[in-house]
Amino acid sequence: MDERPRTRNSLKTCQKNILFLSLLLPSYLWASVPVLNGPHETVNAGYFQLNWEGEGERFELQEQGGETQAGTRTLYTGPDTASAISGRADGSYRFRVRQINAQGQALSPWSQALTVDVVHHSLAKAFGFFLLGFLVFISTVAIVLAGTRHVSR
Amino acid sequence: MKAENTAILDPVTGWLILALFSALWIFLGWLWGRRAKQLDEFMLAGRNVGLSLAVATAMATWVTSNTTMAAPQLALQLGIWGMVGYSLGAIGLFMFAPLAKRIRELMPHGYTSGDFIRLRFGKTTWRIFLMISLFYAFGWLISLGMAGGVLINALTGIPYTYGMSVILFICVLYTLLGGLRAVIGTDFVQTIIIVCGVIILAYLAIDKVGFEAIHAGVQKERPELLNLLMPAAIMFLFNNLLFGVGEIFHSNVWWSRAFAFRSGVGFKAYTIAGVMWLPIPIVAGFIALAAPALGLNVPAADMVGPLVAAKLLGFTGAVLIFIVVFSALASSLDSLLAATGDLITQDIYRQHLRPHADEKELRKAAMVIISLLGVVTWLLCLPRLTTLAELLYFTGAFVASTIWPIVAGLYWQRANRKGAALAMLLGTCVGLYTYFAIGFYVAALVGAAVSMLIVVISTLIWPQSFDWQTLRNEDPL
Repeated sequence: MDERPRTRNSLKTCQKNILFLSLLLPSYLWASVPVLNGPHETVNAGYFQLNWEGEGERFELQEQGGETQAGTRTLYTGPDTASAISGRADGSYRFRVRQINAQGQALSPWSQALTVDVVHHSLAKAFGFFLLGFLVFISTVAIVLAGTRHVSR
Repeated sequence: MKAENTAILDPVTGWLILALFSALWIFLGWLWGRRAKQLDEFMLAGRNVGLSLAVATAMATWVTSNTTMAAPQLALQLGIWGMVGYSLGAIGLFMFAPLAKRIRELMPHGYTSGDFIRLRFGKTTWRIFLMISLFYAFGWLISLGMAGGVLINALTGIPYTYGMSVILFICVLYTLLGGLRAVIGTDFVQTIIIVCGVIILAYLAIDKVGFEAIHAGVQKERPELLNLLMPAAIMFLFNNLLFGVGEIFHSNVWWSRAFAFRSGVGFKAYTIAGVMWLPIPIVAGFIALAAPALGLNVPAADMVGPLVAAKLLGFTGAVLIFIVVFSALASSLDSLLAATGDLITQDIYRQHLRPHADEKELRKAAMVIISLLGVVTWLLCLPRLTTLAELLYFTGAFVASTIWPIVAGLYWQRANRKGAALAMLLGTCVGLYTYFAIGFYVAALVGAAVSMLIVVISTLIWPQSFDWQTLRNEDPL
């Protein structure tokens, strides 16, 4: 019969302890971790789009890697949930995103890092197509000019 | 997913601008088109369009949402060559100038590009051509409708469906009211708005950010955009040029104008329009390069132009870009509705279904077809199946494969029907393969190359003697 009040008291103590401990822990343990999406295959043109899903109002997107960017840098902070990335040289780039508040403080841990490999087409292939295009263009111009001259005669 | 969470204008301002310009286009459409009672007046503006209106309509139609939104997108994705490559679209207008003259001389009574293909290459080639042409027309119509919805949503927060529906409805309405005469008249006003708006934006980008800051921003944040040896951009150069040439050479938008312009006007009109259009994508693309210097996040590449403009000018910039792109969209949508309506009326309704239809019946049919085109486009725009550039460049292989059959058909007496049909089919198939295997930036180029090869070889193997008089004698009505 005396067990119930004692159990109730111990439950209350336990709840207080949890509440106290929770105040000591970083707030972002309660926020959901954003999910970062991007290209899964190698990028050959140097541009791609990243997008992320999360519950927060603001996000921070970071990039690490590439030939010239050895360190980590923040690409964006704000409310958008996507970013068009371009102008990247060959290299492996890592991206991550997290929720932040208006003061820039973290509200969630970083998302799982997304690695994007950029490998541009070879210059030989590029100039091959360039040459082919040039030939088709010049031939088309030639046939139009020759045809126009022939008709006007 | 809502990529852009910060609309610059409030929905009320958005609706006000939409209402104001919609009323203007409808009024002008009614005013200029009220005398278009005959079929020739409705479909071809009486075949009497003078030089200034001809230049304006050619230029305004070619300045589409693709120029004002996709040119900055390509500058952001492919850098300097993306910007320059897009401006090579002007070559299509230059090259069509002598063709327009030839078309007018060969077919004084012609109505559509389909008429030419049918008479020159026979019914099988004509049907293949119609499929390509209609596929492209729908692709372009959908991309324009989608662009309208996306732009209005991004700048004002008005839901995509509402914005897209309004712009489609307005364009269908004033095209119905006045046909090609209304389209050409409104194009003139829209050209002035587009040119002034783009010049103001470019000036402000340079004035407020500066060349050095723009260069430093790009070099730091997106260095490859300044690389003149960027492989994808190198491939893109001639691909875009040939895509533009294919679009113009085959599409009834341009053929209907060649028939509508007064005799002797076509050559000058297309040349001047090309000169005037050339700097527009460079200026519009340049605006995109200011994004890194402004510290601007670009959620979707095709929104970079409007975003930079809004960032530079705030409220005024957003209003300006809204008006410019709304004008560009309307000027292309109306042209495409009218020209595709003509193509379906003449080549499908009359040639396939009602060969003995009189002028009055065809005039009514044209109006019903334009309305149906609007409804079908609206239905296809609703789900937002793809992005603007993906949709646009998917049609590249199709249209580029028509370049050589058309050019050879106009100038080579020995070009034959079998070769023309094979060139369009194989050019499209191989081009589409490279679209998926390599990227959008080679599909048109490969399609045109394969098509050229087949036309040349087939003309040598199966030469055919064609009597040009067949084209002159034909009066489609």
